[in-house]
Amino acid sequence: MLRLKLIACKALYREFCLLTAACNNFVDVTYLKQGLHDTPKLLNQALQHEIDKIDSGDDIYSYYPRFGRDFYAILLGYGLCSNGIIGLRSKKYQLVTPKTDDCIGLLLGSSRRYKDYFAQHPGTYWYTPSWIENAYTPSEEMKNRLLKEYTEKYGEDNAKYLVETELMLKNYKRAAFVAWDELPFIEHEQYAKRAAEYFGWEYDRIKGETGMLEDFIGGRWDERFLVIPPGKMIEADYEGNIIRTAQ
Amino acid sequence: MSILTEISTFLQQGRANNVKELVSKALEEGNSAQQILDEGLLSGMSVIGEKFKNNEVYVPEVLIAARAMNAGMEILKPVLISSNSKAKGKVVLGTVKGDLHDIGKNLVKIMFEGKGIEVIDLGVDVAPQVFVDTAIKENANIIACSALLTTTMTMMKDVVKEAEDRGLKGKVTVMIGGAPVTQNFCDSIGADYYAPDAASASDTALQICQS
Repeated sequence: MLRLKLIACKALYREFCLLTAACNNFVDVTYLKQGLHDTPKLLNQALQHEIDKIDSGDDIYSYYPRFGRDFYAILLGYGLCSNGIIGLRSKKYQLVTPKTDDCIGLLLGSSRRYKDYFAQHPGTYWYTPSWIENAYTPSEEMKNRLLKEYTEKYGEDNAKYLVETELMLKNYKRAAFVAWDELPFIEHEQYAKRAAEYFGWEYDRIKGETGMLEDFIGGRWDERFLVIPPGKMIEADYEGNIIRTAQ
Repeated sequence: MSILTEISTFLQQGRANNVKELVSKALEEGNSAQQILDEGLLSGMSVIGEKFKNNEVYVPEVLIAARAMNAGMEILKPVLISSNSKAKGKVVLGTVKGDLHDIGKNLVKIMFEGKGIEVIDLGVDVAPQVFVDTAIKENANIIACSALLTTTMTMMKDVVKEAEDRGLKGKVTVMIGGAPVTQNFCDSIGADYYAPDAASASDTALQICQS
């Protein structure tokens, strides 16, 4: 049994809860709020801050190494996420992170599968249980809430304009709901479906795969994952691997 | 407060109608269109751009400021065109294949036009071949590509390659930008210039057109 520290985004909250509970390894989890990828610098700072605290052994969210038991690695439950993980390093532990652009690849079970779907269907808005619960996802109800919030802040005229542009309704064509058999949420599926109908988009229900995340916390780190030795840094890779260890 | 400072302030607040009114008034009072553009509209946009970079304001504030800038430009454009005999250069602009996010691209367009550069806006999801075909047909100085996603920015490599294959190296400059794009990435794909934001993109573009 490995003792692992996982720092993950709440965009994967339910999925990681399910898998870490059943995992053979001891997985100590800290979740950061969803949406930090919109400000990649802040995401980067928040992650480095967590890593530094774990390194020094005084993170209030993490197991404190005692009795000769320490973490084997720190796992980052993130994709590249707008370059938010570039430059991260741990002084003490190896870092492990999946080679994927964002969390959708993780939920689909492979980065390749995500890229193939993306190439075939540009303009897809992704819906997942954790996204619907933690983030803004377009729907009639959310649109009206946003309109109200913006009207108070910026006036009616600007609010209407913002909702049209910010939702980017003119460019999106499809809602894709990633469904895991292990986490059936009919309510969320229906939410995504209703949104698609409201905006006049196509709707697609895609069966997700738990395998990549299971292997991630299970310690089966093959070429789908990057293992960075202590003291080394994550950097972007433009040759198809998404990320690599900086030399 | 001078009228130009007032224009800049209203623009930063996204008050398009006030900007429009004051731009007309500033012209009536004898300010030159170029001065209103530089010290009113563009100065306001650069304040907003700087604040955005520092996470002091977010996308909505930038969007309504840009909208106010457009409102002011509607008044200024005819005056600018009649006083400047010709555009300072020509740019073919678009988001790369697969990427439908055009907020950044539209900001760049506004800033380019503010500098007197003609923009051929190809919109979103533009194939490498279309960038290059248009640049040749329009005899453009620059191809400018934008991407929001790490999944799509790699398409910029294909634009650079297409431009090279068609013999545009050294003739047409390829500029790239967008949230995930970095100088490192620019160097790795052999693009000519990377711009971290719309304001510096327009400065760089102007230099290229005038060189």
